[in-house]
Amino acid sequence: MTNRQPNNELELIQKLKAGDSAAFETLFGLYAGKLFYFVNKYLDLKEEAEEIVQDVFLNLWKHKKEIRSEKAFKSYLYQIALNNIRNYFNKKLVQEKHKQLIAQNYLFEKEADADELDYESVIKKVDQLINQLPPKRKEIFLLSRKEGLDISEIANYLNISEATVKNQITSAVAFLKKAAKETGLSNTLFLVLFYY
Amino acid sequence: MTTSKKKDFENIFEGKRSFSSVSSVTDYLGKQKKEQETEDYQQNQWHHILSDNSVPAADLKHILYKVKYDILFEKNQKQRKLLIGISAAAASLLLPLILIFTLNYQAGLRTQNTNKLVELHCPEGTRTKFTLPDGSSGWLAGGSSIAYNLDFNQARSVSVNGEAFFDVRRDPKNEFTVEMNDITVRVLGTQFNVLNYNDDPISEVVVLSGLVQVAGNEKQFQEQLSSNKKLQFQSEENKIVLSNVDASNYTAWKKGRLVFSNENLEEVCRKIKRYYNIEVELNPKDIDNQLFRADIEIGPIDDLLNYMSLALPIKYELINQNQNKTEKGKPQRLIISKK
Repeated sequence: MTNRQPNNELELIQKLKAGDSAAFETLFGLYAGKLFYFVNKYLDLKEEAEEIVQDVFLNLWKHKKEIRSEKAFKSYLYQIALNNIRNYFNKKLVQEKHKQLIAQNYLFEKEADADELDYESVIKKVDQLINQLPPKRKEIFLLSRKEGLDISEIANYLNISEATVKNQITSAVAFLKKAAKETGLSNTLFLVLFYY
Repeated sequence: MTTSKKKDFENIFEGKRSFSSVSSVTDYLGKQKKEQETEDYQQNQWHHILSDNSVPAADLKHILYKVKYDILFEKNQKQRKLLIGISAAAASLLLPLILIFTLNYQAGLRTQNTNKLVELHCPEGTRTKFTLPDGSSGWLAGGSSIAYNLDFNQARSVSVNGEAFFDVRRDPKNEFTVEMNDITVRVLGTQFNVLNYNDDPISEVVVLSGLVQVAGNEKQFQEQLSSNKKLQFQSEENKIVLSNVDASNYTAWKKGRLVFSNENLEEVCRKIKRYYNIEVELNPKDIDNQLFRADIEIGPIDDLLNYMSLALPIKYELINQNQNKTEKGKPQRLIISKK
């Protein structure tokens, strides 16, 4: 009886290869929960993790004929999930890299322990700092830091002079330095951080 | 794999989402780095989970339902594709969930060059993901369509009728343009939602991140929008309304959710009409302007109507306009009146 389970699964995979949708559902029942558990450990975001599980199984169905063995089946699930996780974090990095940089210095200055503080709450704090910028300044600052545009690109895009863009970024830096001072941070690291 | 990185991965797995651990893992996975040891470590995690019987069960029936729906939909489309005879070369340009697409060879009667046009339609009551040749992606809402030239990479320009969400790959040297009936949107690289049905005088642009430029097609206006800004253009009155919004409410549809954030009945009815593909009648037309708030999964319409009739002083009637059960074609008709 002990090897009944594996045999059973091999059978299911063969049925799946033949296009049996009941076998597909059974395999979903067996693996979707574990896959969700794995993905959500990284994302910590239920909806996004579910979307990845959905994508994995949709792909599994599309490529069902290419699965050769039970082992290949499991690593196939894993590979698509991992690719999706990578894409998720790639987007997160684009969105949050500049905040991470600000936060690193902020925490360093405060002599706070980056191992103790919760990631999301730190990012929220940085958001609050950036949000204190006047709208136009904030926009130019984010175009330069978040979208990675250079000064001429921003000037061209917003149809303003390069000098104005430079001034706005300088003002944004000055503003953030002041905000940092008020929250008890010293200037030095902000100088390093916002130097361009 | 350094010991500190290993510790970061372990922390994440134990739910200790400290700033340093999340930053480190985000950096590794986001930059698509691949270090053998870390790869092995992650794979071990997966094998561990596979053999671990204490992994909590998750209720994922709704996900299975969505997968089955997508599979069925693709099957239908495949049959349809065969019927309209699409070339395989063109098909390879488009990614998975695309529903119907046709290749039109615009005869060079009016123009010199024969532009090859790729067109995608999303049937009413559904939504679909699309990917463009430059790597930009997005979602198309029910009853909407998008079209672009096959030489897309030379000039990144698409036209949209209906509602779509775009996640545009950044390319400062090559502007991305969305042309609609009343307005045109220009961006370099950003995420935004557009809405302009050809038969509807109201068009909308909502920005999720980055910066977009919106202009009226008859040069009535030109505006810059940054994140969480909404521009609504009413072409009949030639009027634009700018407002601050929570952009995620306007893109919830791509996840199969419908969000109403303090919207009046008229707006609610417009959305119902689009997402459920039914005719809606407000009776009387100037029914109390009650504000409605809800965040629901797009499912059977009765669920939403039930909820609405509890939250608002209204009653509703849903009429099947088809003569018999087998007849299809005419949409259902919804009449909302005062309680």
